[in-house]
Amino acid sequence: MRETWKEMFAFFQGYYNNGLIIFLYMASLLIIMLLGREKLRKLIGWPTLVIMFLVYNPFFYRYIWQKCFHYGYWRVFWLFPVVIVVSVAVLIVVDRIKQPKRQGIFLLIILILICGNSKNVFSKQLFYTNTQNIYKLPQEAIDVSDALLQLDTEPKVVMCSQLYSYVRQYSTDIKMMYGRNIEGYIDGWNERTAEMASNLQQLEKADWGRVGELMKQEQYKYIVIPQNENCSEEYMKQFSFILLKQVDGYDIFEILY
Amino acid sequence: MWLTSIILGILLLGILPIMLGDRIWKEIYREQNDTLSQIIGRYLVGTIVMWAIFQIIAVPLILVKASFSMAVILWEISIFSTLLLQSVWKVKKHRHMYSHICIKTHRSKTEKLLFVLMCAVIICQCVACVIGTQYDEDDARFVVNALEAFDHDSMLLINPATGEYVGTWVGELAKDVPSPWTFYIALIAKILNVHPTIIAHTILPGILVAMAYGCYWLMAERIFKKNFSYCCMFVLIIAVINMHFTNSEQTQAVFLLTRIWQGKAVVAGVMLPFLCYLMMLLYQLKTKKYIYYLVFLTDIACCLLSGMGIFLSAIVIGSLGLYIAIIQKKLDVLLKVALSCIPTILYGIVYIIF
Repeated sequence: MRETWKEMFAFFQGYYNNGLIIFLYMASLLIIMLLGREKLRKLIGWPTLVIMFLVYNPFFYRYIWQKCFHYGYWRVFWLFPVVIVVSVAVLIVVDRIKQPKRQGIFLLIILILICGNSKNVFSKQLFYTNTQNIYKLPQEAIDVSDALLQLDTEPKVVMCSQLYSYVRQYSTDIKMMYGRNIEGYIDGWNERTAEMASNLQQLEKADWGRVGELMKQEQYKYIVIPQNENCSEEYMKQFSFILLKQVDGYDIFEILY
Repeated sequence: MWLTSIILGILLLGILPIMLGDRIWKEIYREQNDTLSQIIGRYLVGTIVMWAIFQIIAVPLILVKASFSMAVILWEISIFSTLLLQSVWKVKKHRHMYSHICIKTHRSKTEKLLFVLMCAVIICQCVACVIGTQYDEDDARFVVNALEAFDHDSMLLINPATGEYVGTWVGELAKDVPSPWTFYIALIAKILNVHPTIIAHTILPGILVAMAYGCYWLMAERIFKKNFSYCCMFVLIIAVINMHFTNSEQTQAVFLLTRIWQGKAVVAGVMLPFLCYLMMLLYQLKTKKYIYYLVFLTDIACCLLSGMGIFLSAIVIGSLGLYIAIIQKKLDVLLKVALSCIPTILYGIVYIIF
C-alpha cells in the first residue's frame, strides 16, 4: 500500500510540482463546501470530491488506472476541475464582499497571485518560439526539404536527428531510413537503423565507410547532416559522398553507387 | 485560390456547425438565452455532431483499409443528409420557448467592462496560439498521418516516420485505429485545399481554444443563473489561470494553449469541460431526453480524438451520472447514462484488440 501511495504521489508532484495552484484548488474546494450555498455544493463541490475519490484512490490506481494508462496515469488528473473550482470559490468570496470597489481589489489580488504562480505559457522561455513560416516548422526543415525535392521527386534520405521529426510534416514525398521511431516511438527501431543512428550521433567519430555501405544496402541516395569541419567535402569524397548543396547550416550529400 | 479556401473555411468551420447544432440545441434549451449563448451552444453541438459522424464513418473504413477519399465522400453525404433531416424535424413548441435569437442590448458599465476584458484575454490567447509557434515532436506521427492521407489517400498503412508502405497498423499506429482525429484534420485540409500542417498548426488552434472558453461560458450560465457579470468574471479567471497553470508540461492548460491541435489536447481542453457542462444540464434540467442523445454523441466525439478520450469520457459520464442518480433518486438516469457510454465500450474493444 505504501508503494502505491508513493507512486501516486510521484505522479501528483510531477503534475502540480508544488505550485501555488494546488493549494488554491484545495482551499477553493473548502470554501465551496463551507461557504457555498447548498445548490453550489451539490453542483460543484460534491461532484469534485467524487472525481477526486475515483482518481486519487490506491485501489483504483493499482487495479484500473495503472492497467489502463500505465505511465500515463497523470492524464487522469485532467479530470480534476481545478480551474472551475478555483474560479467558483473566488466568486463566492467576491459575492460576500458587498462593496464593488473592494470586490474589484480582491479580484485583482487573486489575479496577481495567479499570475505570480508561474511563468506565462506564451513566454519564450517556456514553450513558444519565433514563428518562421505558416507551417510552424523550423525553417531549416522546409529549406532542406525543398532542396531535396529539387534533386528528386521522391528522395530517399538518411536524415539527421535535428530535422527528422519535421521534414515529413512538410512533404511526405521524402522517404527516410528512420525518423522518430529511432527514439522508440511509432514502430521502434531495428539493428540497421540503430547502427546508422549511432554512427551519426557523433559525426567526428562516424564510420563513413559503414554508413555508405548501409545506405547502399537499403538504397538510400542522400544524407543530410549538420555542417561539421570534420565532414568536409574533400574528406567525405574518400567514402564516395559528393556534396550537393549546403542549406541553412546543413550539408546534403549524395552517395555514389 | 486562397479566397476559395477562406470562403469554404468560413462555411465549414463557422456556419456549418451552427446549422447542424440548431435543432438539438433548441430541443435541449427551452429557455430564453441571449445571443452569445445561442451561438456558442449551437456551434459546440454542431461541431460535436460533425466529429461524431466522422468517427462513425472513419473507423470501419480504416478497419477494411479503404481509401481516405471514401471517408471524405461519405462524411460529406452524411452531413448533407443530416442537414436535410433537420429541415424536416419540427421542434415541439414549448410555451416558454423562444424560437428567435433575442438580443439583450441593455448592459451596465461594469458588465460591459468585464465582458470586454474577458473577450480581450480570450482573443489574445487565440491570436497567440495562431501566430506563435510551439514545436512538438509527437507531430512526427499525428500531422504526418494527416499529410499521408491528404497526399497519398492512405489511412495508417504508411509508416509516418519513414514513408515506407507497410499495409497494416504498426506499433503506435494501432492506437489511431479507434481514434482517427488525424484524418479529421486531413478532411478539413482536403475540403479547403490547404496543407494539413497549416490546418493543424495555424488554423485549428484559434478555433479550438475559443471553443474551450465557449464551454466555460455555458457552464457559467448554469452556475450563476445568467448573472452576466459573474459569468464574465468566471471565464476571465479561468483564462488567467490557464495562462499561468504551467507548473509542468502535463497540465490541462498547457495542453490547451500549446498543442491544442492534437486529439488528446482537445479531450483535455474542450471535451472534458463540455462533458462537465452536459452533466450539469442533466442535473438541472427536467427534460433530459435530448441531453442523453447529446451525451451519447459527445462520447462518440471523444472516441474520435484519442485513446484517452475513449476512457476519460466514460469515467466522467459514469461517475457523475451515478452521482446524479443518487442525489435525485432516479435510477433510470444510471441506465440511460450507461447506454450513453456504449461508444466507449465499442471503441474501447477496438483499442484493446489493436
